[in-house]
Amino acid sequence: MITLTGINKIYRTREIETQALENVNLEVNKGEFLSIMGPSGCGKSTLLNIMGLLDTPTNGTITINGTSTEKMKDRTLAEFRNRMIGFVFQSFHLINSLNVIDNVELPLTYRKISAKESRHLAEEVLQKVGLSHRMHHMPSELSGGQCQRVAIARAIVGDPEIILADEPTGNLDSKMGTEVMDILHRLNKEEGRTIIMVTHNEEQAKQTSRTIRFFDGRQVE
Amino acid sequence: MNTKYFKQIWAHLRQDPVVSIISVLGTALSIFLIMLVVMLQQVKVAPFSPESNRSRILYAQYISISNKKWGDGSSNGPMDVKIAKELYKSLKTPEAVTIYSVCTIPAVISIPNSGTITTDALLTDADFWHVFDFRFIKGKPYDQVSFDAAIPSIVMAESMARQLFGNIDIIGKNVEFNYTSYRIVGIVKDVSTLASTAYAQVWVPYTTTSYINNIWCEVGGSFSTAILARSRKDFSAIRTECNQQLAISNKKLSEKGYKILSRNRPYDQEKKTITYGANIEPDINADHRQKIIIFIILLLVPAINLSSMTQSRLRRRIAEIGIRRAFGSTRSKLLKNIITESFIVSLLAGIIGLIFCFAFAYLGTDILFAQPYQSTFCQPTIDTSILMQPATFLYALGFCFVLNLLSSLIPAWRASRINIVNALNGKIK
Ligand SMILES: Nc1ncnc2c1ncn2[C@@H]1O[C@H](COP(=O)(O)OP(=O)(O)O)[C@@H](O)[C@H]1O
Ligand SMILES: [Mg+2]
Repeated sequence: MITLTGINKIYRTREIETQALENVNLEVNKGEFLSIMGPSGCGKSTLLNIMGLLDTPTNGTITINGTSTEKMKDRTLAEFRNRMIGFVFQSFHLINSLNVIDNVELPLTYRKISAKESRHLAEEVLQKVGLSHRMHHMPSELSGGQCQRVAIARAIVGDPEIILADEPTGNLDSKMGTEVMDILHRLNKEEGRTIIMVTHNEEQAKQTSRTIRFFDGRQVE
Repeated sequence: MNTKYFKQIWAHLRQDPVVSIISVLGTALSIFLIMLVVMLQQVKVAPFSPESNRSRILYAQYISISNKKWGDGSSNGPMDVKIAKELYKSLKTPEAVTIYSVCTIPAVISIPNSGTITTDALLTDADFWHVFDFRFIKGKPYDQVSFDAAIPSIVMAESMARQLFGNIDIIGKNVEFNYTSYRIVGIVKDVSTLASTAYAQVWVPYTTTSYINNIWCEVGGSFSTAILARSRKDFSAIRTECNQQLAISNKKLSEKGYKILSRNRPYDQEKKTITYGANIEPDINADHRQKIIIFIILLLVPAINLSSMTQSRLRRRIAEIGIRRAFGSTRSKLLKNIITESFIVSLLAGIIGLIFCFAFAYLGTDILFAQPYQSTFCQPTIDTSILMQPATFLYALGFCFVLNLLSSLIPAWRASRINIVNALNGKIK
């Protein structure tokens, strides 16, 4: 599904040079639930962002579904992100000036799709995450757990094969965290979506199909 | 476009009301100022009754004459009726040609057993009523027959009729016009002084006055000519015909050493409005350049200010930009979104500005439209038929669009270039 070969990422600022990733080689299979662990600052987010085509590696190649993304132009990259990948972030990243359903519909606004169908799809995924009754609320009126469920709804509304989740429960208490994890597991088991998740929680990691560990930009396990 | 756009715009405007109000009012104010300038020009060129045909009229207001004996000198001014007929009435292409006094003439008017009133009178021929579309409330204009026979007939503006008689059921009655008895044949709706050619309070056949005897330098007199073409397309044919006619007249005049200088007359409405003297040909290109410079300044100054406001607003929405990109917005789509959004706001501001402008035009008509070289008894008046020109709205829309592009293009372009991860983390670079 996703193949990373020889990925290096170096951040250069005026003062320092940080090697965030060093020669990462990774193969993620279709339908896998992969968890990534490691101390903070070891490059987990950087890796996830590169896999999600939000950022480019300094060198190395990413192949998604057999297509190399190396020479992709902005248009194709945007299309790939839109069709193939759904993101879930630690801090939710909902658009505060849009209500819940409009937030969920966001990925569909970049597709040729009727307003009616778009609304219908958004309602369907909101039902899946159990938030049908909060459709017209603003994000500021929701709890953290609800926000993250909205974010998951947004990530899956466009029916992507891959979900990238960067510490999705990092900002949630354990009860809300469990709710979110349950949803992710369902998406993996019932719908066969490939999920790659960064987590600090050993318990959560244990429940996934595979765990890889990072230290200082290198995969150690 | 759907309501989502508007909802979001509204939400953003509400997020920081002070900045929003300042930037909306700032845009409104600039559109207001620009539209004042546009309006000053519009009243001079846009069609409104009785000058509804402005777009297809050519004017020969003045004539210029030189003589072998004068060296480089020339004499310039209104023309005599005879030469006006020879040069312009003879044309075949136009729909109609009218000869009228170069400006309104102060005249006294009275009815028996009352005092006299001073009025603005225009001396015209019968075709005048064809070239200009007056709204007759009562009666009708004097016709060619009574004009040729020099029958003292008079057309009056409604307000003048009411001032004299207290009512307008006065067709067929007589008034004293410059101490001669004239029969009232028609009452027209009042004409704004902004109709700079057709305006007057009373209109009489020039054949009934002595102004036709005022002749200087062979061809100079007290009159101007307006040529109504069937369409603007005929302008060049009319000009060609004018030049042929001029050559014929000049041949005759050369016996006495005279020569009429064409100065590329006749002029269209726009060129007429920048004619400030009879002795020079107005430079339409220089005028356009001047206006463009004024518009650039009027647009650029607010655009720079608004641009920094757009920039700071976008800075607060930096995460949203990252989110949109992460979920599939291309750079160009993002750019389009930002510009469309800010265009909607500009348009709203533009409407406010235009309303200000119309209000100002109504309330401050005499300040705004005071015409420096015109001395009439009436103040300029303005009404919706003059203000509500389609062109005015198009200009306003156009200027909103340009102002918006100038103020949002650079910030939007920068926003669309931001690295996605940085944007998500709220970092600008
Ligand atoms: N935009 C950036 N500029 C400079 N250094 C960065 C940037 N983003 C991340 N880093 C550095 O790269 C390393 C890896 O960061 P990150 O991938 O966020 O780690 P993690 O998600 O594992 O905590 C850290 O040392 C971090 O300081
Ligand atoms: Mg991280």
